[in-house]
Amino acid sequence: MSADDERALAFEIGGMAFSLPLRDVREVTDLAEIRSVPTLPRALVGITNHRGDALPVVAASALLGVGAASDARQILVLGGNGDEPPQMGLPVDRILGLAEAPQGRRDPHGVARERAMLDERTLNVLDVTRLLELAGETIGRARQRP
Amino acid sequence: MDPARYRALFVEETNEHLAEMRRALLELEKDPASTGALEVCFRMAHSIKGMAAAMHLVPISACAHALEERLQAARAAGRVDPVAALPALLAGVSEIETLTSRTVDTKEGLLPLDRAPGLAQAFQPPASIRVRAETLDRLLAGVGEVALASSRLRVASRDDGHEDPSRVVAGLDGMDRVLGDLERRALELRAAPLLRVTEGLPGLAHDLGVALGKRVSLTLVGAPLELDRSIVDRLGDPLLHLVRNAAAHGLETPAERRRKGKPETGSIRIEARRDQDAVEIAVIDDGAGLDSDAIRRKAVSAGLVPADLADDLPPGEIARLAFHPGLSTASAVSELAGRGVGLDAVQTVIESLGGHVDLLSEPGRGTTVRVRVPLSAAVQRVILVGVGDETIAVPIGRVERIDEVDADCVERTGSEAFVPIDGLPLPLLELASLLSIAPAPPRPRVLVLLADVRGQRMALRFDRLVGQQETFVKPVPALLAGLGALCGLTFGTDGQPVFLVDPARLA
Repeated sequence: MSADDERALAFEIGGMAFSLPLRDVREVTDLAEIRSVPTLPRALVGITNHRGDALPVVAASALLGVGAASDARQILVLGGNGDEPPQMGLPVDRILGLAEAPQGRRDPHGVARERAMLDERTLNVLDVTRLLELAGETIGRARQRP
Repeated sequence: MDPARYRALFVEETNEHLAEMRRALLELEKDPASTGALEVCFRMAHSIKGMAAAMHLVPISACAHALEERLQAARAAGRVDPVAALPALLAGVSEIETLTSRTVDTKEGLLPLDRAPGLAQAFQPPASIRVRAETLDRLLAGVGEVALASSRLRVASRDDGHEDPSRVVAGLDGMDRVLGDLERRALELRAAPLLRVTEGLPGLAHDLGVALGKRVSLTLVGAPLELDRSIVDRLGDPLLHLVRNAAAHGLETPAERRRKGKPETGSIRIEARRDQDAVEIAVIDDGAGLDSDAIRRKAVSAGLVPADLADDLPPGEIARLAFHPGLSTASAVSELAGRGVGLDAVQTVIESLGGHVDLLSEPGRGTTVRVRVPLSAAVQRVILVGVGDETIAVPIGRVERIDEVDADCVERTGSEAFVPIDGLPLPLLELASLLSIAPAPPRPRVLVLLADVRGQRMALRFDRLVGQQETFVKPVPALLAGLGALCGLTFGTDGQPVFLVDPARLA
């Protein structure tokens, strides 16, 4: 393992495998009840109560170009540090495990930085900052007239 | 300790010292020999110099040192020279204020902005408050009481395997009482005096007067009044705006005032008073009042009012027009001899705080702008209404009343609908469609809440009344910020998030 390697959490959405650096995943939690966000399509974003904070849950299909998480039972809680509330929940179909993922250069156009392998399966290595930016942009575009 | 906290502390303390200096300098303007005021100024300059030196902020400590020197000379002379020294001292205070606001954190420590280019925008000061140790102790004691009440409750529910309902109820009541007390104390932590944003205004008004060739005196009434810190902090800019407007466009020059038989010094009064769960702040000047003719002309040329109706506009309507964005542009400055410059910006901020602004003007006698804001941003009374399958909350202060009319009475004209309210047809808006919520099936009776929507009284249709409650309001998560009318978020009794909708920002 090189110095650039980091531990990553691997997960599956819509039949594709992804990973995020473990340090960027605040928590993996069971999917609870999700309510609509007025003015936004429910298929894109909902909101849930996560330990007293309102957590926007953004559909992976809108961010990652995959089919909708068909059997999402868990969400990855992402963003925010320390006392700040987390910024986003990402529903996933299942957790695949921990992987050693290389820290690649950020692809300015896509959300996946590069590829890594886990048990002969290709992982799309994600960047949490880009993922959050992309969520913001996607929600901005979807904003309908209130 | 994280450097950002050092900075926040430095900035906060320096600003407090500067505010105290300004007050003392104004005192010295009235009484140049006031020993007390001189001592306060000297002490504050000395403290700032010490703090800035400790943080290696050389320009600030040098500036504070220069102030200290001047004040030392004044001390020796037994008075401040109001012509030679006072303006220089006020300028020095402004200079330190500017330098302080331009200070940013870097890994190497604190740097004035000019030495840390590009960092200004990236730097977001953390929201921090200073809390007295005993306040924290009281909060902790409250937490201890909750823990105690909880164990009593556990005992009451498990004693000998037999629950005692009366003890459980008593335990729950006790818990509610302690939680209520904790909530009150936590809210007190958020309270800040209005003075925090108004104390610099007398100095500012004075400086503005000098720059405009006018004499301006600003007095504060009720400024020690406390309200939610997040509201106080956002009141700074609107109040500054109103004072600038009053000084620049409301008050006349000394010569004009003399001609009109008024005192040469124009007066601006900022009066704050508590009214139930709100604070009303009035900015009152004794200037010329609104120039109604200029507003009429501008409104006609902007296409806001038909020319043939302009002359018949009642004073209230003229005042409303003054808040219209179309009339609040820079180009309006010269035409609107009264005011109207940026009033829409003031209104936007105040409404985003759940408050409202109105204006009363008497030609030749002055203008009063009344700002009303809730005491607390954190706790608000809301009406919960069902729209389709969803529940939303509307701040109660935004709702005129709730009404019910027969569905048959709804009149439709093209895409518009009207309902008869108080004998008059009122535009009807569907909350479901405005909020992109799937509507409930039509019913024989239509429930509406009457509210001001973008400055117009309207009826907003909803599907069921859930109730009203006092609720702790959180900000909308960053990812969802900027979604028009969604102005906050709370949790329903089922623990699920409920959005707060501000009718004024709908449509």
